[in-house]
Amino acid sequence: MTLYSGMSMELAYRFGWALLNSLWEGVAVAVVIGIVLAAVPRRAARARYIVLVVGMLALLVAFATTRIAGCEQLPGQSADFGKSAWVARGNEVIPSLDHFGDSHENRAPSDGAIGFNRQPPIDGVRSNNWIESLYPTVAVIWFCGIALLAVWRVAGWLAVQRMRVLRTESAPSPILLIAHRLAERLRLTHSFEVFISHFVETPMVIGLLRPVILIPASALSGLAPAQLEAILAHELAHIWRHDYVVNLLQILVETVMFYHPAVWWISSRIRLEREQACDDIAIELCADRRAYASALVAIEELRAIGSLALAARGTSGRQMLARIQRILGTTATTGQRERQWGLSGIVAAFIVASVCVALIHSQTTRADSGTAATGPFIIRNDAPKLSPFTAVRWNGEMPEVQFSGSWYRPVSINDMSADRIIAYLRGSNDFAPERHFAEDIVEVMRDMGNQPGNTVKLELEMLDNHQLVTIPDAPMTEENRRAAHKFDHPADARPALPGNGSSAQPFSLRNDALRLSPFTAVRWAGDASQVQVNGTWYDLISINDVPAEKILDYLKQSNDFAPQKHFAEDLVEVMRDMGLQPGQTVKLDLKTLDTAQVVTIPDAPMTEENRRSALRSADSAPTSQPAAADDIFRFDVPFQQGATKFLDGDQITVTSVKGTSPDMQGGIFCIKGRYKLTSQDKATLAACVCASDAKDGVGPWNDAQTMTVQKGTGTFTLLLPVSIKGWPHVSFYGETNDFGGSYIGTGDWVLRKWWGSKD
Amino acid sequence: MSKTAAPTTAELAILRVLWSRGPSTVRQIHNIMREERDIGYSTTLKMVQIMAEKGLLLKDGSVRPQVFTPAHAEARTQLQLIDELIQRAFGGSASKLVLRAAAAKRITPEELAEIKKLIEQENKR
Repeated sequence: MTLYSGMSMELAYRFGWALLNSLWEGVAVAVVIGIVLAAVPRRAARARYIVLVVGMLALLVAFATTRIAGCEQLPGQSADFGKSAWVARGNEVIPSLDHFGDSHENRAPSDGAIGFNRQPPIDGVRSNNWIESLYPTVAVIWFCGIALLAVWRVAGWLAVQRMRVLRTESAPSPILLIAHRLAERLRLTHSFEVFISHFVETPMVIGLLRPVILIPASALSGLAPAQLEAILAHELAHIWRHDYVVNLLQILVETVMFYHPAVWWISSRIRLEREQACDDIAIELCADRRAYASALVAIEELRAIGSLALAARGTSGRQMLARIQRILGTTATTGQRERQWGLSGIVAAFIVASVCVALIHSQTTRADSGTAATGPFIIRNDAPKLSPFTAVRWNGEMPEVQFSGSWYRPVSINDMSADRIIAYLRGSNDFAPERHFAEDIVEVMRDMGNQPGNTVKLELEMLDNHQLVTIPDAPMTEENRRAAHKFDHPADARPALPGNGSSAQPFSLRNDALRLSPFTAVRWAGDASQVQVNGTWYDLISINDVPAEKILDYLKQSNDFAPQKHFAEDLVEVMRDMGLQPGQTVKLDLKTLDTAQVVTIPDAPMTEENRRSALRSADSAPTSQPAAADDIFRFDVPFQQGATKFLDGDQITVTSVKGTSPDMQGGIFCIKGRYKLTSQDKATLAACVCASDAKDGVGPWNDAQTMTVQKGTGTFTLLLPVSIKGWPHVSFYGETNDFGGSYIGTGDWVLRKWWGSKD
Repeated sequence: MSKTAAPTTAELAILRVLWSRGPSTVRQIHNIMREERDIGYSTTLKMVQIMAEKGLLLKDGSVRPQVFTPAHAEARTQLQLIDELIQRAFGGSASKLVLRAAAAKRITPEELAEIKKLIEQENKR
């Protein structure tokens, strides 16, 4: 982990992202080049060369822009960043645990409305974490690779510089004469020098500004004058074509994208086409294909004599053969062989590309899920909790911020105006725009499509003299954000609770305990909790011998705004505040749903995974009641059970009724209960009012009044608007008619006897 | 700069003798060489003659027996050795920085033969 500490985590993520993306980008470019090259004839070396150079530039641009796009589009990638396996914290990197940092639920009871629109947290798409966790490693390896290669290249450059002088002498005047005559014919304006070298084995051009042609001494004696002229023409063609510039660019790309097979391939093709283009110029100038071909061969022969070192069988022999064939205009078997090679290369490239695309695609969809740039703001607590400010206060509608101990009016953050950020929050009907501006600026700006990094550019206005101050790199830190939180919530600074039961005080969520749960899901039938353990649902009796009702009662007595949610998701904190902190395992007493058998698990593990899963299921469960329900349905209705009638085995039990008024004679009511359906495969469960006065007809009917249920048991939550006089009931309906129901109500609105029955 | 090849290890031993002693005859060189290793006089003589041919040594034929002096100063030869070392070590990297007519790597004799055959066929046509 210390390996990463020197490098900005975020930078590492950006580069990792770009590097992994460059894999498929490179393959795509190579495939396109392959297709285009197949259409360009071999003799058109210049055209092929241009295609390849453009392709290589495209690769570099794609790589660079992916990196830049990565910066702009941080939502995408930082959806990863915030939730991934690694999170930068100050200077060190620690495995991310959801439980550090205080967070969202820490709000006033009136904030309950948040529950309504809560989107599934990014947790839901965790599947690709392993790729993200590779980002920093990939980036570090890449940096090391570039550093090593850079040293290697600089050494090579030094070696080339020495090559100018190492055992060289100026060329004899006849050679210079030939060279300058050729240069004239080429209309070469660039000055150049020709040296005879006793060191190099092949003719070459070195140097960018002062190009030097080195002719091996052996060539001087071993080549016929016509051959020597052709070789000189080839080297001059390099200078004339400015090949040295392109070659440097090529080396840059090779260094930056050293890991990429597509780059290797394109680069070697560029070298070949470059030589062939120079071959063409040399032949044009010297007008003798055979002499030129024999010159190339003669050089190879001289080389073989000159040294005892063994030649490696590589591409060079094949390439030379191809070149000679091209010069002589014979398209023999090797051409086909090359084409076959190209074909299988393209096929292999496609396979690699599709794998890469599949990998990256899942990345991109992730990225999209995090990019809510246009949507309204909904706090999800899935971004790093950082702030550049140590406090935020409000002067009417306008914020004032504390930076380095002084107060300012914020003008912009990363060039996004503060007004715009606040307008965005208010325009989203955010329940606490001031708070989110102060404490969740990273998430807010990310959702606006402009996620700040570890530093931001701040423009601040002094309060007294309205002078503008610009801070180019204000650090975004957790400490600042905590200070801002404390500034806004001084009450939270209370001391930690002692761990004994007697001192239990009203519960108020502080998110300062471990986030563990023994359950993978929790659901409610009224106040009765059902929990999922090892994939099976049970009625919960007790945790560590504390009755489940006692825990819920404690939360309710504390006027907690979301007792059921905190029961399900913050059990450790709740029980700790009750003075009953659980450890890594708890004893669970459970009751099976069907046989009502009591099951005791002496050491159920408390894990983060369970707790996350409980959070997920709460967010996705269609029957889960929005937390705000408690606010709207303020009254617990003391309903009475009226007449019931069911087919054999069917049952509807209403366990709680809450409503906008204390009696069920006008208002909206939230009816919860349990059902058991055995007589039919499925049915519609509906809450309605049977009108007692015929002129009222049937009561109003809407979707929230009904739900479709399948054979089996389950819980229901139905909304019942009561606007006509009559008898409320919850009933099963089949295709045509009802086949059982339960009447409930208050006062004389309860149907006591079933229709037509005597008792 | 010198166009002569860098000396081999054995040649370097002889050069070192001459750099420290100054101009010497073959016999004088041999006597010092013999202190370090078992070497025949004829071997030393042969090596000195080859070195003179390569231009590593200059001989003064005006006196008998002939006196040999190093063609280049010690510092210069060392520089050349370092250069060749650089070339050998970083030639791989350097080869990408030069533009050359021939392939960067030497081709095998078989490949060369194949290419030559091709040219001969073409010439016969």
